Amino acid sequence: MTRHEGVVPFRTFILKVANRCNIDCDYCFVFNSKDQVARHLPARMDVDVARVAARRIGEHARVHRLSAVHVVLHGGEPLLAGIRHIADILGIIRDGIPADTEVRFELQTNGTLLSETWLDLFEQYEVAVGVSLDGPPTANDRHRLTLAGRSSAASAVHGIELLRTRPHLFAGLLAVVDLANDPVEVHDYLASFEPPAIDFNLPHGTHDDPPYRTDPDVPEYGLWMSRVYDAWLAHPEYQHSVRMLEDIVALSSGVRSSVETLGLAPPTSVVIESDGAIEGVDTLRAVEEGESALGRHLAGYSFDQVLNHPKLLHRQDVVNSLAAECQRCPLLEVCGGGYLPHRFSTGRGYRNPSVYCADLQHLIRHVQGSLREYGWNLHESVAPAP
Amino acid sequence: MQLRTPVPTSHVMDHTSPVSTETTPTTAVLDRVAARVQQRLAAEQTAASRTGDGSHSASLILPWPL
Repeated sequence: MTRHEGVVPFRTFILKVANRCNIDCDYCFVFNSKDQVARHLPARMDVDVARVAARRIGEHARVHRLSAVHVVLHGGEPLLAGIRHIADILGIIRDGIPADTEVRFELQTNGTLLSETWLDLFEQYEVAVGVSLDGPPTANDRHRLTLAGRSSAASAVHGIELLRTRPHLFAGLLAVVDLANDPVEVHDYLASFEPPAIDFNLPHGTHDDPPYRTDPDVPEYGLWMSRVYDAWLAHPEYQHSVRMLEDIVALSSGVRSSVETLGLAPPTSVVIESDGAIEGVDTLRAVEEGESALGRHLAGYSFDQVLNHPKLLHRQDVVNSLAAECQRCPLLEVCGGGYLPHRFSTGRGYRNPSVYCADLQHLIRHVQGSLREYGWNLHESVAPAP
Repeated sequence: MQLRTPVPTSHVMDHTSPVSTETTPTTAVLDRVAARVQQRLAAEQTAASRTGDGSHSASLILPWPL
């Protein structure tokens, strides 16, 4: 297997170690979206699948001379796989990847099952833990209820407080935006846990099934996130980053890498399902049934072979995969056309601006205006203030 | 399509003093952000990849070393 110049390798490997969850978030792209495939997949990733995954990651790292790879344990709720099973998977992955490739582990959880025993395991493998929480209990309870319809907030907060006792394991908090929640209240509440990072995901939506708005002519999500930005800057006593906002600042300053929802850097993550199937962008399950499927399995395909899948070609030519109006937009290098699933329409596929186009424009201009006000020299690619 | 701006081979972000010399909450936070952004720029200068990485939206840790 030879290395191909110009091909962007995978660097982050999302392992779906569990395909069940102990809560029932109504916006979940895995269990409550158009594609219901997860319900038919193995409840947890078998160790034999993990062994093949480790071998494939190792060969990819060797071919592309990757000095580090990022392995994220995901789900469903990954802790449902059981502590011994997760310990086995972590060991298999670490042992299966060449010793000269650093493996950085991360796990994204709802936090409700965290315990000291789990944290002891994460210490052993230096697993950074991110917790999903949408804000104070009243905010979190809008969407993140248990299977019995009860609040999951208290148990999630208990898990976060445990994590705070081991801050080196605490990756941060991840919230989904809901316009019904007060952005300042949400930000300040999440910040009070002193995470190193907070991030906000916009609700899944497409042009066929757009996100909720009270007024379609108002960039409500952009206004919401702008208030988060202002709240963030108003609290120097907290040390956290707000990833989406900091990435807008960074991209406006000439940085190329960012979260995949912004910028023009190609997505470098790939998903391995519990049965060993490989997916590119798993959140495409919110678009339509089968949209995330590549028809490729670890047993028969290397990651290099998957790189050239037709559904992943946008990674190799990010700009030309965008809608014409995005390609000529002055905010292109910061916005990047927005997150791939948010561009979808049945008529034009992914060659649309994001359903959040107006929101992103508002937010980016708000951030850049703030930076100019404080004397920040923006990158030459940034359009002058309107 | 040619990008409006070529990928910079070097870029030094010059975070000049704010309009007011007094440290405000906003400038305190932006000073920290500026330091992190400088680190990211420096890391990208030495990285083998010139295109950057788009990290997964559900992953909170940065894929590059700082």
